[in-house]
Amino acid sequence: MVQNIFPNFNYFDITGPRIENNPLFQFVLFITACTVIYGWGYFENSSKRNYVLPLLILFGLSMAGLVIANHLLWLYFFWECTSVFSYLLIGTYYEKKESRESSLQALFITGAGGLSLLLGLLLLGEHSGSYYLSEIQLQHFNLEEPIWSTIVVLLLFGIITKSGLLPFQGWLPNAMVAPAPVSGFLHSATLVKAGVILITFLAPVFQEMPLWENSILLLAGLTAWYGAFMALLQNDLKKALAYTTSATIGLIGFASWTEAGNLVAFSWILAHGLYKSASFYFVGIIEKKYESRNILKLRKLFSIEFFDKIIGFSLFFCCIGIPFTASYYAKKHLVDFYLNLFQQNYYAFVLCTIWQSLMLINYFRILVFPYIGTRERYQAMHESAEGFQEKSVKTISIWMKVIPVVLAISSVLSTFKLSQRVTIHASDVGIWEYFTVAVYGLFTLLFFMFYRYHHFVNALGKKLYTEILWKWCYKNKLRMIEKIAIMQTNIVQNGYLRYYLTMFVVATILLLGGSIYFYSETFIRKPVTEILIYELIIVAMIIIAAFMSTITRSRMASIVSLGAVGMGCSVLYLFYSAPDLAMTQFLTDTLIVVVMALLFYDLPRYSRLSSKTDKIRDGIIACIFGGVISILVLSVTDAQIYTEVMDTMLKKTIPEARGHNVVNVILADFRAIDTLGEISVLTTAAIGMYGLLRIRTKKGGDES
Amino acid sequence: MRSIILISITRLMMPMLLMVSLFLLLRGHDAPGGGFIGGLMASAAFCLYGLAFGFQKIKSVLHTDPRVILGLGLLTSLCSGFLGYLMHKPFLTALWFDEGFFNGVINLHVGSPLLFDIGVYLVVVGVVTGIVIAHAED
Repeated sequence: MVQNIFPNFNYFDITGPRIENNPLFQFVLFITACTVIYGWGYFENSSKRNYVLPLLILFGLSMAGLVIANHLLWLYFFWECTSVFSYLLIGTYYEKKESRESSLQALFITGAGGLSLLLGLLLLGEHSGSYYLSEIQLQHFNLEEPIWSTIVVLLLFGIITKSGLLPFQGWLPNAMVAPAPVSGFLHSATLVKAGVILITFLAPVFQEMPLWENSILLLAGLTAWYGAFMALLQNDLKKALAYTTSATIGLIGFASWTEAGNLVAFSWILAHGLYKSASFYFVGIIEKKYESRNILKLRKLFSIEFFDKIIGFSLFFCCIGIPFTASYYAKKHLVDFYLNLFQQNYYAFVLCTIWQSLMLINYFRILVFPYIGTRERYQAMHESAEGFQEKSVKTISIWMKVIPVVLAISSVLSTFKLSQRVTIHASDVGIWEYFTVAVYGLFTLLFFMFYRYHHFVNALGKKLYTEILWKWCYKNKLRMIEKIAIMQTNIVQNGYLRYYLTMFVVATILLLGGSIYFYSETFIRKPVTEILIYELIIVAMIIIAAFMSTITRSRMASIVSLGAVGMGCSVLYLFYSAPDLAMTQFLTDTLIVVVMALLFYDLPRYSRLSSKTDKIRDGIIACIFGGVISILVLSVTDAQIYTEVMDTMLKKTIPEARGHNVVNVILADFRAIDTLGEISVLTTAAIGMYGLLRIRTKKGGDES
Repeated sequence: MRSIILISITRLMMPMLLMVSLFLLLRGHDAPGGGFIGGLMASAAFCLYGLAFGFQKIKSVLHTDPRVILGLGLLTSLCSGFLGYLMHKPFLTALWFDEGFFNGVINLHVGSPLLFDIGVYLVVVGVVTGIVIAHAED
């Protein structure tokens, strides 16, 4: 398997043909830039600026990498990058417990999905014969084979967790504890879009598969409705926005499972990314200025500035898709797609209309409703100004004000790209117009119905959320996993170093011995050559020294005997003409003896802690371990698989590397990049060791 | 516990060991030796010094913190890699004095692999002495 991946694994061929003229790539970078500028203003005078902004940039870059990645493993790499960075970003206010819990939830859910995705991608790569997305998309497979169902299930699990489709959408609204730039970014261009983008990438491969089609249609459809309803129940601006995102992602997923829906999906991804990030940043401004995100509280404020009202209204129009905004064209594509998909089935069309109206109500509640309560109206209703809050408005940075405007404008400008691809026939235009009118009419009707039961509905929403979704669906399960983890840790890692060691050795025996038993065909085919007398003497000395080191009572003697084992080995290397290895072994052993002597200098004397049965058990384990390693070494020396590598290295040493010592030439020239990695690891290890020792010294100092 | 014998021997051996370590480093490309082995040799010499005079004293022989040596070594190796870029060749390409750019100007069979090896040498010395000194301080 490994051999299949690596020979044609070109480190830098990340993108292949996917980078050219990729609107998603430009889109992600654009939103990233906007978010960073907005974040610059948002975190003015805040210590979090230096924490969030670099992470935002990294997050944006990994998302950009994801949309252009061509190699499946690169895709997976960027996918996991977005998971990790989102974890760090959601936990921006890591001082708060809520923040930590939410970020962990996001990491758990997307991380579990990531593992499944990795398996799915590896299987896909193996069974399609190519790890390049552009090649896989062009091929046709016999999707009836059971393996493809497994692949689809694994991939879909990764996708639905990442995109927050049902039943794994719990982390999405909880991620709202993050500051506005982060949540806006998560919900518009990056994290949740990753899943649906992957669906569109894979659509050409799997679109004829009923499992793929049905599961996506079911989950995405449910999510769309669920998000639209849940958003109605929220009074928190950001939570409501989060649920509308859920709903829209559901819609995009609904369209993206087939190649025909790609255009719908892409135009929705672009349009939604623009207006949703703008809405989030707008809500961020409101939150900063008036220090509240509650719709009802905001309604009681009469000091909403004119600028905010204007922005809110215009964003509302961007969201609902009035003509000449991006979402107008996105909706047109959607209608077109539905007409084709359901073959003039008007039930689906009615459902779509109702869904759209619900979304309109949501956007109205978020972007218009809180800011139109005026003092006069309120007084007329309650006949006093009591409960009216006249808060001073906080000033905010100019960068924060600019970005929603920029995004709204680009939402209009991006129509130049989208409108070129509109292919609605003249006969369909009638339907499109009926649709729009129906949506707007229904919206008005539903809104006034809804408004009467506003408080009741919100109480219901709160209860549903805290009782069922958070406590029962997530917390209880998490506690169960924790219990299992504690149980398992108590068995495997119970705090005694000797048990750790035993566990490690036993695991190695099982893994190594198992794989040798099952996979190695033959070993020791070579006849044993003549053994010379001095070799025999050295081997005997090594065995005696090893034995001495286990039975001696003095720690020093044991260390020195270990050193003797090493010296004996290095002499053996010398016999078999490996002077470099011999020298290294010799010096390493000398240094090990010195360092160990230094380390053990302060330790107490040896004492008998283990009983006889323990000793016998440990002895048996040690013998088996030694035996397994010996067999492994023998079979490795016997299996001469890569002779060509050896030959080329030997042949090329003098003409190409101009040196006579093959070992050194390989280390410092042919495979210098490996050596560079090794010395970096060495350095890291040394620094880590140094840090650990420092901690101990400090603690000791405190105690004394 | 200062042993006179150990101290005297160390005084004699230290320069010799260090010279041998340099010798091993320099000849590494053509004969057994190289940066790793040379570095180990040098660290053994410093350990010997530590055994004789106390491990705290190693720092004064090194004239600097081992971590500085560590960093310098890593930097040296990395730089030898970047030399390739200067000649419009891939990262870590071996460059020699007696061929290419300097051919005829400097007639010396020395190249960037040696620089790389020097980096390895320094890293090994830094790691071992650093660990030993840190333990001794503990």
